[in-house]
Amino acid sequence: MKKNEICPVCGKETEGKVPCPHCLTDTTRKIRLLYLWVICVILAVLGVGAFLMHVKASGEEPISISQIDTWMDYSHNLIEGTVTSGPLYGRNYISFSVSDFSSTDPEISTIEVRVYSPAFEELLMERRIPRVGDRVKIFGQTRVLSERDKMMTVSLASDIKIQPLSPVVSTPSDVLRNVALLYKRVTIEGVVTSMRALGSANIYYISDGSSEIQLYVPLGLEVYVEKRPLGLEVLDRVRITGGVSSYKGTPQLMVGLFSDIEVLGKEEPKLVRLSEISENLIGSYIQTSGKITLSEAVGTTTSLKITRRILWLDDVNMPKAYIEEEIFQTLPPETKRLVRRGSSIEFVGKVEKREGKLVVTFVGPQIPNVLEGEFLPPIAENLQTLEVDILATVAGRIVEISTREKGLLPPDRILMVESPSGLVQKVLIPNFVYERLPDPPRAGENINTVGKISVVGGEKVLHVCSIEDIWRV
Amino acid sequence: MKPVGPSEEVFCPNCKRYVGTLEKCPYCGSKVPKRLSFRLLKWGGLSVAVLGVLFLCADVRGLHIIAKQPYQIAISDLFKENATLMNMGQAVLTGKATFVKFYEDTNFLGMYLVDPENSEASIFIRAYDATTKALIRLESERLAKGSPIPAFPAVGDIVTVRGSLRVRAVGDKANQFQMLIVQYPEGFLKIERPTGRKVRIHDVVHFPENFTEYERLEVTGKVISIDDLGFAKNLTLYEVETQESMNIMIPKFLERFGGAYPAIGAKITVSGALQSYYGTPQLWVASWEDIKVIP
Repeated sequence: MKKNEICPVCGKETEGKVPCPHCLTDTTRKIRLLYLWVICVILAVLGVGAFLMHVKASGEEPISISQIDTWMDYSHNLIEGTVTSGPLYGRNYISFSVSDFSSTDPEISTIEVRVYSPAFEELLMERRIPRVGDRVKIFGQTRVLSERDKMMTVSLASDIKIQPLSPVVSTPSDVLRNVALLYKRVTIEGVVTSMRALGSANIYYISDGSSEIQLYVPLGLEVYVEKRPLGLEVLDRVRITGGVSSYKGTPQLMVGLFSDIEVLGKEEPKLVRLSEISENLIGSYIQTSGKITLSEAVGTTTSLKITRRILWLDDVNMPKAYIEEEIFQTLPPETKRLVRRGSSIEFVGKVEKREGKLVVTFVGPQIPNVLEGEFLPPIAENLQTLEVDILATVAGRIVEISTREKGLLPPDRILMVESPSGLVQKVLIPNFVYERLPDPPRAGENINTVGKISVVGGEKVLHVCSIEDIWRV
Repeated sequence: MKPVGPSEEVFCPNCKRYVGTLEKCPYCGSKVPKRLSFRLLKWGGLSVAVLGVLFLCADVRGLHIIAKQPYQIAISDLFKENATLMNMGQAVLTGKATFVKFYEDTNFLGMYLVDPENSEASIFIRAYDATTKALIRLESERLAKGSPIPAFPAVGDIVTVRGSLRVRAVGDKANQFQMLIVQYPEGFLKIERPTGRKVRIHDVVHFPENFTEYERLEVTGKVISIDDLGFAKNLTLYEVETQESMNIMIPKFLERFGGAYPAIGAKITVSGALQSYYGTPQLWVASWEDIKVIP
């Protein structure tokens, strides 16, 4: 080294010293240019490889839904498949199920897709609602709790590509029979024969005369999207364009919007008097009327809920009207108030046989004609001399109140009522009636009670069936 | 080049070579004595750095001499055009809780807060497992002490939280995602549980226009059924005077704090936040204190 040599790193004079006293660089250590070339080539090859992998990974190749496992929780994926259920609507989202049938187990090859606001509103505005049967390609973030419980959240409306399926004309019978129509879109015509009101949806039954298919209408569609009730009534003739989904193995029609349902007209029900109802009419829908002589509430053994109301009409021998509580609760408040003893009612029902007796099942949705009136069964002098299942009135003073245990539920009450003649008769108030009384009767009070005669503990009692049937005098 | 500094400090006393600021000669390994000021500078600097970090920790946690509380902002502000500039910032937000969920699988807490002045603006609040577990512990302690100030939020509460904001784009759309992460239980600065307004079930069912969703109400009635929905138990409460009923939702999560469901047939007074379930009103109970059995 020369005395005035300069350090190639710090640029200061080294005075020939190695390493550089200023920056401690050892200038004798050098890398060969060949090695540098080799390193550069390796890096270039690795770079090209990484780029190719990136290009492949970022390509629009959908992943098989059955391959989405818990390791892919929170990952973003592209899926492609057929809408198999939905759409369901929440306050700020729309959800539906997509399956690509990549596994023999449908649960594994199905994923629930949710689109939240504002993408949800965008889809609605563009009327791009994925319906059962449509082919969809969706990009979103997956949440995977298990192989059978996975969900995809979509943030942008543009991340959903829908290829709508054209509907085929069919009938309810064909849809129920023909498995090839599952997850296809169909247009059917039929008559609304009844409805079931669930907490989150209404299920309408559409009949073509020989078979009935269920039409699933989510309440979210009414409340958050259309913002009005569907307004279908029993015996409406409708044309529905919907997708054929399946619930517990039974085909079910699902619609995206109210515009998928068109009311064509109304079938006129056959007018039949109660006395004319016979076994020949079983299964048919009739319009009938009668005076309510008793409104009998039916409870359960596990709660104080009312499950059904049985209307005794005209005479005890006439067919009774059965109203399921979920249907009863869909009636307007004033109609509900009027459906009581003494009122006259005209309604559409289905003739059926229950427990060996002909009955008319009140079908919804409908608003019956109800006219307020009064009816009081004859006063029973002695219940023991009367037949079971007839109506009677017991009047008198309560001399004692006892209970009949009902397990964990509140007990039934048995009132010992002394009539003016001095005879003491038993009145049974079931727990679900007693607990609903605003001011239950007490011993020593004079009351009137109406009910049906039944047997409890080998003894005939008056069975009170609703809260209107017991009052103080 | 001329060496800088006193020669006894920059040249090795043993081999006489130039060593600059090094305390140990790189050539012969001898110790090169330095002035006291050099050592002071080095160790003093280190001490100041350590103390400074400790001070910052203490200041952030409670002293607040330098690190002041983050700004209180309105939830609506997060929807303004330049809100993405707040991304990763610390902020204090106040809103009404419209959704509170404890995720059993992850032990996370998820909550939506709605701007009290603008019901269209809401933000998702997330607390991870450590924070959520601490909140559960605090709530248990509160219940044991009988303190009226809740430690764990519930639907209907007015909640003030401090945390780290996420305001970012989704896809090519700016300012589409708003979230606040609460990193420690003290981040729940205030949980205010309004007293329930005494009302009749009949009025809630028939005159919904007179009520605001998520306002806390107090109703009285008889329990006529209890249904297990998995995530909650649904009590059907029957108002005997009007023959109307209403669903009362008790989150399953409350079972972590003990408590007992009222018996079927029991008359109770219950407070909760009003929610419309597909148009049907229901009340969400915030804690067991909201249910009072009337003897």
